[in-house]
Amino acid sequence: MSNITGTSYFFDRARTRMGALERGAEGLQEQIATGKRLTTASQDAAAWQRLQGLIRAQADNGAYTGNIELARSVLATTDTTLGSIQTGLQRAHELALRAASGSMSPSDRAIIAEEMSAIVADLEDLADTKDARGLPLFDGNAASIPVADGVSVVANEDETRVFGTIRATLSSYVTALRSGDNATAIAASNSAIAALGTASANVASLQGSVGARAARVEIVAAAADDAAEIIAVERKGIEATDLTATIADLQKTMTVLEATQASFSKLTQLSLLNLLR
Amino acid sequence: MSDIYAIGMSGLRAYQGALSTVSENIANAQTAGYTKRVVTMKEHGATSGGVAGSGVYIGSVVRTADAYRAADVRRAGADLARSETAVSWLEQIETALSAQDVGARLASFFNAATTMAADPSATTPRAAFLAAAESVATAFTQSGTTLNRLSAQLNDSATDATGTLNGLAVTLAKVNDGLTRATAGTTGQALLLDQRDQLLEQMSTLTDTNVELDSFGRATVRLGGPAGPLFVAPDGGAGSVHFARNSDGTFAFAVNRQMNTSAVNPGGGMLAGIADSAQRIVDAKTALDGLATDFATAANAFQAAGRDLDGNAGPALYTQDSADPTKLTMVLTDPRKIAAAAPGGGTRDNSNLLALAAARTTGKFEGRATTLIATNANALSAARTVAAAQTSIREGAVARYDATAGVDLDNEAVDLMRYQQAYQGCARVIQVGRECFQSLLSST
Repeated sequence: MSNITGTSYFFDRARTRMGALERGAEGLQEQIATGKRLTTASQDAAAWQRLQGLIRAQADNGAYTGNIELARSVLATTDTTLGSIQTGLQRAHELALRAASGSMSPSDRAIIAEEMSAIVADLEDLADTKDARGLPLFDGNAASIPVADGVSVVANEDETRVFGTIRATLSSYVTALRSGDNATAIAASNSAIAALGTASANVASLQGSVGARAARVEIVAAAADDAAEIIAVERKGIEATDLTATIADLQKTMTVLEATQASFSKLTQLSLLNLLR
Repeated sequence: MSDIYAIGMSGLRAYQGALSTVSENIANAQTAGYTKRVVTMKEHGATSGGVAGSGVYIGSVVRTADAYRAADVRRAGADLARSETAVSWLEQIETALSAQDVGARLASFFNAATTMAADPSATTPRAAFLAAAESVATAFTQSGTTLNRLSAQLNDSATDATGTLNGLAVTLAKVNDGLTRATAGTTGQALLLDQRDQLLEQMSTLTDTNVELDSFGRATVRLGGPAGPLFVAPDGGAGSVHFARNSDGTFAFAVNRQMNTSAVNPGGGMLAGIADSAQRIVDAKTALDGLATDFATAANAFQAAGRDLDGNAGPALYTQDSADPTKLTMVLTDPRKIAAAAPGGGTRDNSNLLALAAARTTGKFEGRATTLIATNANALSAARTVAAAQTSIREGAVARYDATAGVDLDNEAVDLMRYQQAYQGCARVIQVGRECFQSLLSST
């Protein structure tokens, strides 16, 4: 038994030391089990504050990712719909070119008028297309979608900007085709050809603009993905348990604890009182 | 010749006493507050001008405690108790603030606004926004309530601590009385001195004490340093410590003794730890109050500036309790009434939500919530570091004190053998005396 201090104090000290080692081992074991090193702010306030910033950035990223998906889908719908409109306008253009020919009989023009009227109906339907949110696609008042801090994308187009007056022009053109009067039909066909050319060029430029916006969304999305990856790596670096180091630490603590226990039990066996006969 | 009997007898008595003292030490090896006793042997002077003296007697039973080392233990104990008390309360503050995590709730709120901005006229994102707003209000309210509860619990803790302290003072005054009457060098006095030291040590874990001992061993205790008010003194007995809360929530302590009341600022022990913790809670609550007010003002201003789905200005999102700013109550329940649009923007406009995102950046609400927790965490880890250092200081002080005052069974075993042999020697003296007397008788 120790003869530097009293017997009672010797036991107290041994208990405190072994208790501290056990608590240390328990803490390491928990870090291994949960996979997290940083669980409370007081372990490392600076790192914890950085971690909170990263968690917030991840949450922001999550919200923006949802918006990016929506912007993609609305832009895709806009692009497809504009494509269908363009196809319709080009078909109308071809029909108008045929109808402008002087050799056409009124009955031929009546057939063309049928098809032209179907195209007008198609265009009306396309104008009523709904976007991914279930709302009118061609609504100039539709909100621009925020896709990153300070970055918003306009995913919808305004109906007037898309069509101009072409639908009204085509409707009256159909009437002119059905009139049976050769001169009226040819004159109407020529002005329709001009109007269709303008409308088609307009839609083509809108398609280009939508394509450019979609490309921008892709750039933002790629940046968000990169950022998410960097954040995840950084977050892991801050809060995740370094398994190799922690297991080694645990092993070390356990070894020290066992040695302490062994030496304690050896020391307590030694007492002069045992040797008195 | 009969002196030999007397000398032998005195030796038997003295070593019997010494053996009982050693046995007492062994028996009390684990008794809290017991200090090792040693006997000092004194020689009986010769009565007349004879050659030899008249034997031995036990001069005194001395406690081996060192008063200076005991004072070191008390000082170290008071410092450690202060830090440990602060650590335990700061941990509770940390748990309370982290569990509610106002910062994360705020982030969800602003992200719900981002999501709603993509589709402002739909009901689902609006409902999600309201739910997020509600959870922010809950987080503020719960955090505030917990801080208030902790502040109230500090009162209970202070009541306990002062009650214990006052009880110890009364007992110490009685021990002082006893010491006035006790005979120096007796076991009775040693017992009282043990009690005195134990009481003083218990007191020092509650508050910092300045102790002076007089020639009787009676303690005069002042609180809060050598110039502090008298708490216990041999004349006039014990005083009592009281506490009150100032209007800002901090603690004020006072000593009341012999009709005099003097304010005291505990510089150590549990009471000082409680005062420190009260200050921390006040600081945390003030910061949280400010954050709640700024956030609620910004949220309500956002509503007032925009237009809801029906084209009206948005009604307030929250009401705030005037007495407790962290008590936020959601008053908006209709998702249609969220003012996402700017005036004249129509139902599909989200300009006002973009303004809210700008308010998020300027207000730095989430950063402030994080800073609030981090400030407390810094204080906590600093207190832990200090407590760890003070633990080793106290351990050192206890080890030094124990080196003289503690019972070591090996040493006692040595003493046991030594006194046993001396006892046997005295018995032999009596035997020799008897044989000498016998030879005198038989020679006649």
